Amino acid sequence: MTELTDRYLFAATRSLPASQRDDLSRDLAERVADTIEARVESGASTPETAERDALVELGHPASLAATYSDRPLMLIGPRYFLIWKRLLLFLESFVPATVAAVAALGLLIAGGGWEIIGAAIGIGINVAVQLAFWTTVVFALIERYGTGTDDELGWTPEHLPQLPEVRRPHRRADLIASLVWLVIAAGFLVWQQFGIVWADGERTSVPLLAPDLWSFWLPYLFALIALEAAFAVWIYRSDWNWANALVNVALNAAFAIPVVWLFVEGRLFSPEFLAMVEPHLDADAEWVLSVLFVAGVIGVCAWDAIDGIIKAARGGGRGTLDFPGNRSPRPAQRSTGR
Amino acid sequence: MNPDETTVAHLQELRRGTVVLACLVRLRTPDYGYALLESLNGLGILVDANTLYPLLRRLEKQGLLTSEWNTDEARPRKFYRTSPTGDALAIALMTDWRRIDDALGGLTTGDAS
Repeated sequence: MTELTDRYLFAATRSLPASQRDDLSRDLAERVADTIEARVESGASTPETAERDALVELGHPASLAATYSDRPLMLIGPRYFLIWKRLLLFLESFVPATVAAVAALGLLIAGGGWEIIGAAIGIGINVAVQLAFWTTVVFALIERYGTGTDDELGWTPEHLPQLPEVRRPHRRADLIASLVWLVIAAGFLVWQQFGIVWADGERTSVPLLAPDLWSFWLPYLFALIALEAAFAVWIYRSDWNWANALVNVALNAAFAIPVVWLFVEGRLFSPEFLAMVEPHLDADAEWVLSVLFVAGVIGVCAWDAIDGIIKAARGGGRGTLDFPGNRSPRPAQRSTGR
Repeated sequence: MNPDETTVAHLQELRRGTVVLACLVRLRTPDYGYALLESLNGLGILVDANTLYPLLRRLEKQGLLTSEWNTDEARPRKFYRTSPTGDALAIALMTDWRRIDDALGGLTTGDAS
């Protein structure tokens, strides 16, 4: 045995606990020597090159040691992979966005400007990365040191998802509610022009939204309402999937971005309406109301968009993820149809 | 994965258990790793060194093989021998192997008729 073999044995066994090192080292020494001998006998190598060739044949010492190892060579094995994936998707689906939104709201109220958008995105990304890292670390530790059985997956037949027709018992009602809501929204857009604002207990003819918007943005909103109605019918017919979840995100963005932009530009509300409100509010109250208005529009749209994504991720149906840990005992819903 | 890789993967899977059985039967006569590798491959039981050496250690840990270092020759070698538990397992595995062989035989002749 030469120095080269000794170095190989050292490299192969150094990652093992000390108690197993000598034992495996001895076994490997025998294997290396036998491999060298066999190479010389078969004429595959000359006596001078046989040792080096034999070590090349055995391969990387760490890989060789791994074939002898009982430890898992993966970070998270099949037993925990699915629960890890579901938990991670669930947390990532709302925690970073929520933290970023709350942080942005705080910065806005504290008097920040446009730069808070960058700050909020930075915070959101940071939270997303931290969340993924620590969730994975915990599961990797459980994989290595957990002494569990499959019971840890906490699965029983009662956790099976409902079939689509049972899972969405209210889909017709949902469709009707969506359409009624859209009709009300369209009616509101027309009505606000002719006086929805009360002043001193009396209805006035002051329009709420700026009349200039009739040239483009109000027709745009009507078009958007029509699209939303078509979308509600689509959901009714096909249930949630990735395609309509993405369309839902686009529709929400198509509403929120122009509305917030018009508001920030001061073009959303009519000058008459603002003049009426002005005397009742001081500068601070105006600022906080503005922030809450913007946060409200963005929050509602973002929530609706995320809800659609969650429903799509679940393969349709309810918008709340269901996994061990957040599962609330809900009464079994059985089809009563005969 | 191309068809050849699929074939190789399935062959490996089919042979995995038979290597254990072959070791347990063959090591009723004590022998060391490399000699076992040579003799199994010589008999047509194809096994890779990277499979066999770790397998021997695992079977020893499970109490199916016992081992002893032989220092009579120039180099010390670890000789493995099938333990009584290993022998009982070998008999059980062999019985099952024959049953599967019969069943597959019945399946193919049934097919032909």
